[in-house]
Amino acid sequence: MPGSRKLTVRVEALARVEGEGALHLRVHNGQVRELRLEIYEPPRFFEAFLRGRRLEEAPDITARICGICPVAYQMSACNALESLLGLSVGGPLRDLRLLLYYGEWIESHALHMFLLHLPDFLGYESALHMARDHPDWVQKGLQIKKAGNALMARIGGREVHPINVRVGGFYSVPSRRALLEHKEELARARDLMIEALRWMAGLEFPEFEED
Amino acid sequence: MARRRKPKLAVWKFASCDGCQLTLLDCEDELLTLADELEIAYFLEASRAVVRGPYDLSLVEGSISTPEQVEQIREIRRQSRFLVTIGACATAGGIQALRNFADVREFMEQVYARPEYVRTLEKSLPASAYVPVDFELRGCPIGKGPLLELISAFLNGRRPQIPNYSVCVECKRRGTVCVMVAQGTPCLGPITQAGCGALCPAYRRGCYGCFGPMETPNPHSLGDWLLARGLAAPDLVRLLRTFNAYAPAFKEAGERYAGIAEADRSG
Repeated sequence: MPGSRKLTVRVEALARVEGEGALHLRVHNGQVRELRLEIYEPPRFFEAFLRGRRLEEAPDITARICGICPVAYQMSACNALESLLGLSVGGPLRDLRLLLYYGEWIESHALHMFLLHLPDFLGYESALHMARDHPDWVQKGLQIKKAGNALMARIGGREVHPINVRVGGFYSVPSRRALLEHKEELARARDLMIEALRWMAGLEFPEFEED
Repeated sequence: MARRRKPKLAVWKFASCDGCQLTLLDCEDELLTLADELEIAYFLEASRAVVRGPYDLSLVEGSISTPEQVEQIREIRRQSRFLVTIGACATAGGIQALRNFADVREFMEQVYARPEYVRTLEKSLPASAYVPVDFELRGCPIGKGPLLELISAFLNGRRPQIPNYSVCVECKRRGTVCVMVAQGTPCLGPITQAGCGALCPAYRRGCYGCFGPMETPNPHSLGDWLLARGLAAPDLVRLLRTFNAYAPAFKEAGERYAGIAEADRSG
């Protein structure tokens, strides 16, 4: 950078991310002098209040660590406790768990790609602002997201903090017919995602340079 | 006629999991329509656009658990025409209110290698502990239906129609066989506010009370009934102390049965 230049960036609250954080950046003559990421998300003490609870309660309690990826916590709690108990959950139950997890992945990835990150690539404040110029892509993203949510709700009971996961398997399993009802919607979502990936792969990504 | 100014919506986060805010973004079919009707003036999870207050409708997620949050909720109240809590954290203190029954310093030492870096209050409390709240939307998480009903009621200047009866009513409507009667499964349905669609019993498990106490519940009747049928007092206390442990009716019942559990142990 030519001459003596100072640049200070202070983002008091980062937007379109999970959780809360602030970013402080100070650059002098092209040299980063200070870079500080502050996580001011308040403590909630899950590790402390899980003590003394019954093991059956752990998946529902740990889910509340994050409402955007509750299944990840439910599965981790189940895997940890099942491994302690010497239990192994296999066969169709494992497949069903994976299917629930896929539902969360589809929902969460669509949320991140279309609603949280894409506005940065295209220069909008949010996906809602972006929808004025790119209504099709926002609608497609929402349809993909919805297909994932529908799968989660079918297997888990609801999208945020599913109620059907338990140590050892599930409280109740859906019928094959109930699951097949999702086939068309998921196939449509897959096609939309392939189309979206082709388009997104052409977006300009900033160069990443390592120090 | 000139179109009236769009009402300004703000969505705030305190100590929480983001799940109730996400419920708004999960309204995939309604989201763009909502954005037409409301100006999204502050909603960091969805937008970096920040419009200054005052706000017509503030949705508050999360419990108040740090000194900074006490100041923030007071400022939000000053800036908001309607302030509505969304979910169990903002309405009752949330799962993190379990600290309220323990020593938060001991919790800090258990969890953090350097507890001196952590600033927190002894209690995790609902927004209503610090400011007047206009309406409370229940649930851990809230449901899409009740959220849309709330926003649509706000847009039309009427009261939201949110049921205040128990989960049992929803179970009967749904035709679910009672898990307590048929399976002997402990269930908080009789004292928990409806709104989830009686989800847990439909999946053959007992309600764990994530919508908090219904209006005028009778937790002592339910608790005594469960104890008489063999549920151990400590298990009953844990059942009452999850996501709405600090909601007054659950808190009071939890304390009563914790006293019974204590008497059993020393007795």
